[in-house]
Amino acid sequence: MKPLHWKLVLIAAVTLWAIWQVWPRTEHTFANVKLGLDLRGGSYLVMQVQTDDAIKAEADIEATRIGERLRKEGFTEARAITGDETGQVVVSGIPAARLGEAERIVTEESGDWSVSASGTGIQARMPRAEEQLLRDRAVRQALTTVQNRVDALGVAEASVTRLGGENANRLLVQMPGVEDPSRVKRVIQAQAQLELRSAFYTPDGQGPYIAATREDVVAQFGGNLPPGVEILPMEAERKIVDPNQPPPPAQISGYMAVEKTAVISGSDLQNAQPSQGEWSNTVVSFSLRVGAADRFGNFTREHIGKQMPIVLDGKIKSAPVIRAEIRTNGQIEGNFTPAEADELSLVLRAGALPARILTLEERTVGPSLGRDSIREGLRAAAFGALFTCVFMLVYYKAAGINAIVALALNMLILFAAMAQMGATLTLPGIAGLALTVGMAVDANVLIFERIREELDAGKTVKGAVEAGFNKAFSAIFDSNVTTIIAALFLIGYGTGPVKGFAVTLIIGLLANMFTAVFVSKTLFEMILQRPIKSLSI
Amino acid sequence: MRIKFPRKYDFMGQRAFIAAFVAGGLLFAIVAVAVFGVQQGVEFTGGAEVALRYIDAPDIATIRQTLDAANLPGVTVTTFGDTGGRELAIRVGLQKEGSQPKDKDLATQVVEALRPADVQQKIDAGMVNLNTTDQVTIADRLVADAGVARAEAEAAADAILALRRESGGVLVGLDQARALPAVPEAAKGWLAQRAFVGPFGLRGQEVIEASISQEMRNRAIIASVGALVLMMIYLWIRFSGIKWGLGAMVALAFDVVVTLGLFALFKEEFTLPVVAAFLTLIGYSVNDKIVVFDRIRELIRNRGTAGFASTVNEALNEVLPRTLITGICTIVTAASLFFFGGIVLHGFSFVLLWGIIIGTLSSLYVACPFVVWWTKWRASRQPADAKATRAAKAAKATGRARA
Repeated sequence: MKPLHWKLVLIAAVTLWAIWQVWPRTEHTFANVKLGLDLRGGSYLVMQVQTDDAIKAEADIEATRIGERLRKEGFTEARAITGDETGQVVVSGIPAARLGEAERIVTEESGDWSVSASGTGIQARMPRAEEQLLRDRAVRQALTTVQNRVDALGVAEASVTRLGGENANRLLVQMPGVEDPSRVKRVIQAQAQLELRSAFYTPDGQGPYIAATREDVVAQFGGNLPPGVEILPMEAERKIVDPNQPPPPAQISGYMAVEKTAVISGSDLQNAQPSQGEWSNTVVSFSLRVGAADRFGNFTREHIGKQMPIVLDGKIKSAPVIRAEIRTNGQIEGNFTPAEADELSLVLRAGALPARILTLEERTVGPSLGRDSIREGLRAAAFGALFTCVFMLVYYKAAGINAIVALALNMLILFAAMAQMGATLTLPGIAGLALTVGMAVDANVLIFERIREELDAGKTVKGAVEAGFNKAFSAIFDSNVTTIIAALFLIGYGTGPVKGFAVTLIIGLLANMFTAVFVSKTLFEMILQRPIKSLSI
Repeated sequence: MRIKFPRKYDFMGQRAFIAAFVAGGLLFAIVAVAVFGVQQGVEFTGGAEVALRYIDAPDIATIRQTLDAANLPGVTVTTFGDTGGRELAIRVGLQKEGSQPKDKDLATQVVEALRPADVQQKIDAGMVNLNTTDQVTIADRLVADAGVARAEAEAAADAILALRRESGGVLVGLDQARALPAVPEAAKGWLAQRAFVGPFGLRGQEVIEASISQEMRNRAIIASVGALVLMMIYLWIRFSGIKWGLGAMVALAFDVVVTLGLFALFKEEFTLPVVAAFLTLIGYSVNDKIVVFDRIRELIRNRGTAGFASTVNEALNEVLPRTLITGICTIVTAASLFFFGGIVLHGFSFVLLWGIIIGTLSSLYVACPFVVWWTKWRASRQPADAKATRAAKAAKATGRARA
């Protein structure tokens, strides 16, 4: 075969591949290229996982353990609390004479934490490696939880991804078609940290300690809280007028002293669903996993007649009195509306978040707006393309067809490559498209003007075409490569929309080098196979 | 068809015009930016932006007062699009820490503040506003209140929402919804009694926290400046001389600054897609500069560096037809996007259109004059003997090139 035939086979193969890629098959795409939420409509959330929460939770556990151990070893006044720095435990109340002994115990108890003593206190700090590990785990756990919750809400095609690099503690939630993200956001952000705890009773059975303010509860203890006890707010009953509307946020009716350690926590739940309570009010019923059921059974048997506060995200929802041993099933009462009970059950089933989640960025484009921008943008682009085509035909006659074929193939390859790579077309991506078209037109104009110049200089048709392509090549190459280099940088450093621009541009310009130079020249060579005296250009 | 050019324009000789073009452009841009300021989008300032579409054009002053009364900070209300004032963009600044309950985001607060009293009453009475409700709620209520089967309820809700999309995001009345074939009889009764259409629909919303807006601004700046520097280095290497890279950079900076001035003058809003538009303008402009530089490089290769200014002039004259043809095609396309591309593309195509015009002119009147000036300035600073040896080297080199 002649070299020309090989070129034609290559072009035909690329064209067939491109047509195969863009052949209309899937919904919500343009020529099989996924449309970004800005064009298709939907909701886009950037959320930050407050990983400090997870570190603090771990430090809390460590503090409790260290305190208990020290008191067991005879340091009756010892107090271990979470320090102000992240991942730090501060121990106080150690007699100066036994500081060394206490330090040894803390070192032993805390494993590989770095321990230092000064004056009457001891500080223990979580190793950096462990801190990193905990943060990473918190984000991964949050990702799974958020994904579960979004799925449970029935949002189709929702995607939850973790951002990379320095933003590794951020999640990107993309929900096509969601017009009002407030419900989704509420469900995603609900921490759903459920704990069943014990109200605090003294050994002689005194308690529970309840008062109108936090200070009053402390006063009941004579100004000093016993170790392992904390004071939590209790939510008042709410009057629910219309079960279909969210009632006002609950007021705080008082404060109660409760044990810090939870008997049962969210991870012990096997299932949760809304149901009818004793007085046909809406409650959330739950069932426990096997191991937790034994623990719960023992606890309830030993605490009959006492109150068991149900704590949700640090607030006491209700504090029922234990009447009999309970093993597997329980109920959460809290004056829920049916919708709230529904959402609470959902988040309890999906699991608790290991840390709070903040919404940093929220963009919602209504599908009607997305539709308008596609329709109007396409109409305008079509007009521009039509003008360019007509202009090319008028100004360059038959050679104009050449330019139009090259331009059309460029667009075809661009969309095919994006479809194959699974890239997304966004509004800034259309900017990349516009620049690609501009540079593609320019490449053809450069070549054609050059051929005309060479013809003017008296070259033969064949010689002029050859020289035109050769001499125009360096300009086309340099301008495309410069732009591609800049676009590569944008992929590395730009934020989402800027990246979308860069991806489209790089693919478009690579396709441009192929179509404007290789394809266009092959077409000329085809024409020049027969000896012709003049070129229609 | 072919436009004949005389090929004898003295671009580099028009010193007064070049000086006036550069100074005038910069002066205009500085004054425009200083007087009007560049209006930044919420992604860079933090806060919320809500796009609403009303059934009837509302009174803007009343809306502003309502939002001010609701204690929302930094409220601006503008109409957009060609809907006769029915489409509103409402912007709200960032909230001061702890001044409002945090459980509702800014966008929700705006929508609730704008809800008229009668709509609020209907909502309190448990009725459903078809213009601001999502699919799930409509379907749920149809099942719960009207006893419609789940599948039918979902189909009806889908059809109602599709109709809302078709109508540009807001339903004008209930009749249209009732007439839908997917809406069963039972649902029709429910629509009449338990549903209503509020005065506006939500077209889109954005809520951006302060921390991330700062970050977005920084990243946009780093990305743009970094891309520019890389382009400069590439040109420096490919054209073996820093003056080419510098000349392109100076011209690109001129393009960006002047376009920004026009941007401020026409009070367009600077958003993330506009950053992409500025990057497009840089890409287009650098392409134009490379085409001109490439022709200069070619001419120098053929006849040496003597009479640099006239070589540049010749190159500019030779590429003038291409500059004009490409310019016409791209400007018409950008103008078409600007005039017919719709509101979403408006700020973006504004930059594209002006950027192409200014970028083309800046090749002629900024980049090339800079390169010519730089060459002269370097030559004047070189000692006479060094000059002589360089000239000898250059003569040898060109001798080789010719041979």
